[in-house]
Amino acid sequence: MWRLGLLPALALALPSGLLAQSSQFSVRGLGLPGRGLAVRSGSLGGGFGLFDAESSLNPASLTSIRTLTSSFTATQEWRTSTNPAGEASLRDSRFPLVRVVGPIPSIGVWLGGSVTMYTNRDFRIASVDTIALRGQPVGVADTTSSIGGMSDVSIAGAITLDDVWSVGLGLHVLTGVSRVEARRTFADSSFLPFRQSAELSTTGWGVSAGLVGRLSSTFMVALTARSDAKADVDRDSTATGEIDLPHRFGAGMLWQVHPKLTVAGHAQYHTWSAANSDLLAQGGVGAKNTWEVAVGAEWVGDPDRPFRRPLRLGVHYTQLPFPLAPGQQGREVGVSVGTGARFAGGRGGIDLGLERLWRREGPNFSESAWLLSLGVSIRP
Amino acid sequence: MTRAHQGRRRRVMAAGALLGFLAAGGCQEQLTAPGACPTSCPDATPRVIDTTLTAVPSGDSTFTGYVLAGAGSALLVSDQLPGGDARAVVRFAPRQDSLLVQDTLRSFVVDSVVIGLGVVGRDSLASGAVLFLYRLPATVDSSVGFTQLDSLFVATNVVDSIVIPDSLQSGGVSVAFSGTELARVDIPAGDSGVLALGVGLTSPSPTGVRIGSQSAGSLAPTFTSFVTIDIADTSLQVQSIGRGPTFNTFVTETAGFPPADLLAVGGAPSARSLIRFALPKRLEDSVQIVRATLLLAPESIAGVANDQGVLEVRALQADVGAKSPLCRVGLACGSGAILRASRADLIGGSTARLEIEVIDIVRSWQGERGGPSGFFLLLLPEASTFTRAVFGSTRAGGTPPRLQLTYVDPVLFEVP
Repeated sequence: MWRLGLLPALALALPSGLLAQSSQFSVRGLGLPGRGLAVRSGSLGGGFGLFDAESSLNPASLTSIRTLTSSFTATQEWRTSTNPAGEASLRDSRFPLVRVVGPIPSIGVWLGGSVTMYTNRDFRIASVDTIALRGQPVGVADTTSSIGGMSDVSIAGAITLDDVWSVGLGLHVLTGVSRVEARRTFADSSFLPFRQSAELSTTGWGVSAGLVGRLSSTFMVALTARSDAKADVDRDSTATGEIDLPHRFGAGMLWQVHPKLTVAGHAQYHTWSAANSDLLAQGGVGAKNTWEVAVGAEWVGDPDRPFRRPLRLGVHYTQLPFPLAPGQQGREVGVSVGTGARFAGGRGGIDLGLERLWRREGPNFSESAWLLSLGVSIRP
Repeated sequence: MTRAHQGRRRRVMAAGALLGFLAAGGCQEQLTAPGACPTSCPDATPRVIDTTLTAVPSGDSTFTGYVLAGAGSALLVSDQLPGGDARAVVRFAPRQDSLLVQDTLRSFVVDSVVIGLGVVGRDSLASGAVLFLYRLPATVDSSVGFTQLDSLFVATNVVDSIVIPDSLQSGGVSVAFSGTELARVDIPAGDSGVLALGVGLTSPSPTGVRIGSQSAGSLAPTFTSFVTIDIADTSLQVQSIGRGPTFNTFVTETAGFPPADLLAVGGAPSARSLIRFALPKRLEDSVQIVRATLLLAPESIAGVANDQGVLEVRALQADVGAKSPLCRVGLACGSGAILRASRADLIGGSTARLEIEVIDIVRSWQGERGGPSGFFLLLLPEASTFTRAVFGSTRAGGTPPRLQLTYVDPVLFEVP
């Protein structure tokens, strides 16, 4: 009975809304890209992401799943942002991944669907200034905020070609709304506060393909590619333009060094500069291509029970596509640790991850953050 | 309980503790980061712009006749006041010659009379002011003029005087008559019980006093007679008869107000001024106005020191000229609501530019349901103050009315 009570407790415990990442690095362009990783892969730095069916990076990884699995990820972040205007300690929560995958044995196909964070454009920026009004200096306080971003709603299928190779194909619908608001208050109360809001919606689509090869009993490789088409952007239901979305190319390998130790890593390349001209044309700073490199290692105490409190370690480096200022490019480094457990005869699972992140752009803008992630999976 | 069962329970308890930890963190959001603009700020910085509009040429006018003398809350009396003196007239309701007591009309004898007046406002720094009461014909009415009234303000008509204590800013004053003094307030049979009085003022220095009119509540003029009724029952013999005004007014020797081609407020009958502005189309429907100030250049402001009137600016529900219905504070008007009164104190003798905040009014002009882009100027209390103000117009005077606007252009949010 106490196991049945766990799910309602989980539902009550989690925050009630899809809330903010609120990074100062999500201010430009489409915001901060999501990584599409489940908690297990995230704890491994993302290095196992191309092989993990519970992550959404590679449709071919679906074939690694044995039974219908639904998973849910929640993340709480504590962050310190620093820039020339000062330093602030911030905290927020988000639910970056919901995924359902499973095999259809009768036809030898694996199917999966997911809703993941494609980009996050949650932020609230406050600043103060003094301007001249009616010939007098007047202090002003500005707050600009955005809640929203783009979500990636995908459906994917995969098949095994033989004992070695699996291939997969995914279709992606990209949709999202950002509710942006600008506020200004004046130190002189003779001037009434100003407030304006708008709703920016984005719609696009993409396709992805992947390949996983089990070259030996201890060594696997993976390749993936994805192409996202142009996204239509509306402001308050009025078409304002298009933004070209990137292609993504990734390659990874997984090596079981020892029955108790597995290491994996991948590199991905995003052609975000496709959006550069569109963003510049609309007054933005632009976009740059990005590299991501991730490596992780998982240690299991009992190879026969690999999900019984494994120790997961990982590190990743990624570049940020939307610079705050021209000529710069932000970067992110993360170190992560995690574990997990299965219960109820393997029908339920919990994965935990703790990650330390550092983001930086130029000499003046930096962030450090702790991310605590919880993944819940159910295999009915 | 088996060991496996205990292990499961431990795991679930650990998971529960973790969920609680996440819940505690997740319920607390702190999202606001400092912005190092423009680098870390999105392109959504409001652009604030100042502009000044001049009133529509010949679209400003002064109209009179809104509130008549005596219809306001005060009557004016003055002495040596620059610009002309004022005299007040009060005619009380008839005091009948008998009272109905125990179903019988019975005659009475007047024992004493008290006449009360209320001081609504005065220059408290002016000392030695004395109100003089003059007996007037019972037939006095609104046709009486200053010259005619002044000819009646002679010593033979003086009923009595009331010294206004120097410490009195506002409040009641009275004078009582008894014995032989009653002859001064005796009402001849031909007057049908009507007592009419004129009120004047003498003062060592030029000043004026505002006394309560019939609508001034507790400060309204009173005429109270204490009488003894012809009846055997001694408990019913002594009674009082109170009478208030049925008519009151004041007259001034002011001439030439309001002046032609200038904008004026005040006086009696009161003058109001209509000023129209042409709000540019862009300001009408595309910007947020954060401050609006009406600028008026006084040509003259006359009145009694330390007892100024207040200039009020009102919005129009519809622009039909002199009879335009006006918006009220707290009610919807045009496309908005007038939440704040737009007022300015008028300082006698000052020629300093008046700046009156009119943000609610100007905002009510915006949008499809916007009201007419004009102001009505009026003086408070209307037809009840010595203050008279004259401002430059678009046709005459030094500077026409202007409207200083500070607005924010629409923010073009950075489109991702």
